Amino acid sequence: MTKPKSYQQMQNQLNQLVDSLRAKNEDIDTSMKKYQEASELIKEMEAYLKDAENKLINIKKDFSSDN
Amino acid sequence: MNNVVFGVSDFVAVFNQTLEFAYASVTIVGELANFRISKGRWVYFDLKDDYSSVKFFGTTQQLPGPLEDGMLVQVSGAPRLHNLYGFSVNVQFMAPIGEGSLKKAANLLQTKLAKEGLFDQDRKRQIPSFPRTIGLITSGESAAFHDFSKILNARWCGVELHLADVQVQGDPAPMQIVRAVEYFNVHHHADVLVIIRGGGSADDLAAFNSEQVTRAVAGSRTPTVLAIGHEVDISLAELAADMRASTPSNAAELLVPDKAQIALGLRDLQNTLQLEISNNISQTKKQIELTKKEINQTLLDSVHFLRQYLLATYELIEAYNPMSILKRGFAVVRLSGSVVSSVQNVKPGQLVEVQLASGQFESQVIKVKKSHHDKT
Repeated sequence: MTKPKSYQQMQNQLNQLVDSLRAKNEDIDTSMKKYQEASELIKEMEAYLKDAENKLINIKKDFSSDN
Repeated sequence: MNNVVFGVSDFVAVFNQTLEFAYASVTIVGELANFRISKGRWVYFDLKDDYSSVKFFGTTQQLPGPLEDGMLVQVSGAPRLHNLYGFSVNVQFMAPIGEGSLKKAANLLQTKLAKEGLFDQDRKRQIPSFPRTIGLITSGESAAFHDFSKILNARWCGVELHLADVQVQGDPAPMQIVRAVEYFNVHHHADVLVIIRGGGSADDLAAFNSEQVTRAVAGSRTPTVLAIGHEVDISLAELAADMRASTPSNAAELLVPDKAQIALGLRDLQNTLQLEISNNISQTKKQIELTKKEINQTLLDSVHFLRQYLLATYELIEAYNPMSILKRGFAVVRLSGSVVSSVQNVKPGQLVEVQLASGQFESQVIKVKKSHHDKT
């Protein structure tokens, strides 16, 4: 199973798509495809913001000694 | 008690045994005097008050940082009688105490570490925009931990917060914090290290002005964010961090964005992209219409040109039509069906056919006369 994408990865991917869409040197078919990709990515990012939860992990180590 | 007679070495041994039994370790507070470091390793000083002075001996590893005479310090150590150099306390732990001494010690250390470049701005690294794993070094029971977690949970999501629960004040604090920093750097990956502690007195915050903690923060391979005490308290460890926050809550605010704002930004971006792609499509449509018009115009121009050309050609052909010439009064003379192009080809008495534009008639040659220019 592949590791779920981090928000940073999705943000980087979105930045690339937006930059490429705005470069205006793409044909309309490629632009439409990239627009669709960007829209789907935005949906994924919105779902992440809605559903992802923070997790607290207590490290079981005694820092009062070297062991 | 009988007066026991000792040899000198025996006396030293017995005296030390007695001391070890009675006072294996003592803690003494006093003003630092005659402080000196020998050969970069051995440390000698006295602690004194208004009436007494005691000698101490230790190594540079035991020093909390740079010290100078006049500072109030607390020293723990083992009292010993040296066989050659007399009585001294062998240092086990020492630290400046009292606001004045702590401040002075911090100033001396700050000057030393600044010279080494530990606080230079060009050492500061970028903190990841969306950290996925945060290594948090603080007391798990502290208000600082609760404030940080509360703001973090309110602002962002999908984060793993790995807590290294350490003491953040008192003698054990510096080593525990240093070990926790090392642990994250060597054994336990985190995208960023956060070290926080709430407000307190100068003594409470002393660990974060210690040389060990400041060096550990400066040497961390993982980027660091520190928030120690209140906004007005700036510790040396904070100066060495990649980012300083004014409070633990502020550390969470600086570390992660507000997801509500980010969600709004995503909506705006989606709308903008939609508008841009619609504009793009309508531009393409306009371009297609324009191209269509240009093609039509080119076709019309071609047809017009061809018509003009055909007309001109027709007029040219018409100009060469023999009937047109006949209409102007000229005639074609034929003898036995062949055109007579020279008077030499006919003789008087022969019958010839004469064709005009409107018809033809037969004629008889009466006489033949040559033109002057007809040499044939």
